Amino acid sequence: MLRKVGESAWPISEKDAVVSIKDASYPIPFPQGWNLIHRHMAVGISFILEC
Amino acid sequence: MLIPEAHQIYVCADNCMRGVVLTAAEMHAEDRFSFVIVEEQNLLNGDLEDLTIEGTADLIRKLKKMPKAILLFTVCIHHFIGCDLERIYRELEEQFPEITFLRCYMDPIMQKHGPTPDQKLRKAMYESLDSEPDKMDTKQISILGSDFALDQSSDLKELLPKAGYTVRELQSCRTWEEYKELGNAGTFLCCYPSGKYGIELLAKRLDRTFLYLPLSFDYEEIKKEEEILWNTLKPEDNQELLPWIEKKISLCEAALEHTRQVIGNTPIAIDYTFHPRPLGLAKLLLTHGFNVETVYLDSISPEEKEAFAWLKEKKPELELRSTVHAKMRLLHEEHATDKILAIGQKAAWFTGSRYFVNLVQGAGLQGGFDGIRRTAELMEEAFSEEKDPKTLIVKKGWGGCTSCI
Repeated sequence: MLRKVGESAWPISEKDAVVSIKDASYPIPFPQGWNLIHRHMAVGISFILEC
Repeated sequence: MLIPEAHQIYVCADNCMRGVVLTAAEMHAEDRFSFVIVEEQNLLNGDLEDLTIEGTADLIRKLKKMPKAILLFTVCIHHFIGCDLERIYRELEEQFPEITFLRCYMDPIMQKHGPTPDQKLRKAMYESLDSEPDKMDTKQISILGSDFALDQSSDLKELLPKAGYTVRELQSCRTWEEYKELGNAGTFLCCYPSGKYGIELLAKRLDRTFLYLPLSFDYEEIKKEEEILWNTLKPEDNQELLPWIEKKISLCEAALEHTRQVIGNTPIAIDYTFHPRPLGLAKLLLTHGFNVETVYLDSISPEEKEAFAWLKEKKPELELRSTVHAKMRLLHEEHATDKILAIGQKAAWFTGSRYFVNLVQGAGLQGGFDGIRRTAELMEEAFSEEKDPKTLIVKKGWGGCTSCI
């Protein structure tokens, strides 16, 4: 059955999106997947603000 | 939008244009913003240069008042198809010699190194500043690079006049001519990390003194920065800086203690949009007895490396949460079950808290010790007054949107 994006039949795991700082790497604390978004390595924020 | 008498033109496809148009609308700046839509045929026919030139020229001719400057934004697609950007700017400058065209690039996709669009925009904003040598004023300091003017109570606005300097900021310029006068300063000072790249280049181009005093939540770092500032300015009557700094630190301590008594052990979540130093803020609050549980961020700035290492050791259970991971679309609360103090809009959205500090990019707090004192005050206000996030947080990214962005 088709399901609207955003609806989920099971609990969403926090894996890869949430991490304790003791396990976090520097400068990107989360495991990196393929990402279209330019991370602001110089200033520490991901770039999605303007577009 | 900060440059007086300037007009923005975006040339891009519908998908990206949506966000940009909504931003302009939310700023009530529709009259200073125009756009040219790129369609599939423009890519297939290879006429993107012509579309950009003709579309922009047509828009300019239709404006009620000729702007002094045009911020022309080209986007990712211009780069993907190898568009001749120099030809675009050259032809427009020939057609409209009285207008200054600022080269703005909104090209974040797949860019993994080099300056970001935000950094490039902050550079472009000051590219038309110049100054004749006889107009340079060694007693003028232009504070540039941030979207916000510093608070009147900020350390810099207190220290600079004390040392006999006049402070100028882009935010107080009402005309193009006033904007151009920013270039007369003998010193360019930047506090905001994304602005550093452009302002440093500006100072190099005009052969001026450049000072980068990044906003911080660390007493020692602020002290060092203000000592550098003081030694560079060389105040005429040799005023002592140290007693002034000690007084400022005691004001910060009093404010933090007062706020801690009000907030107590309430969990605190911080996000990176509140301030470029979210980990530095977490460290400051933890060392003053606050219960910081979560920081929302996606990467860690080199300026925060020390705070990161400190937190890793002293508060290993501190939770870091991504804001751009796809799962975060679902990993957020509609309503917080217990009272949480959120510092920043994203922290408010993800925790569902109605008690939040509604501020972005450090706003006017970027001025030394006073930024710490004001942050404590803002936390106390936010803790005491419930707010409706939906009426305060920018709406373009709010839920319910079916766009893929």
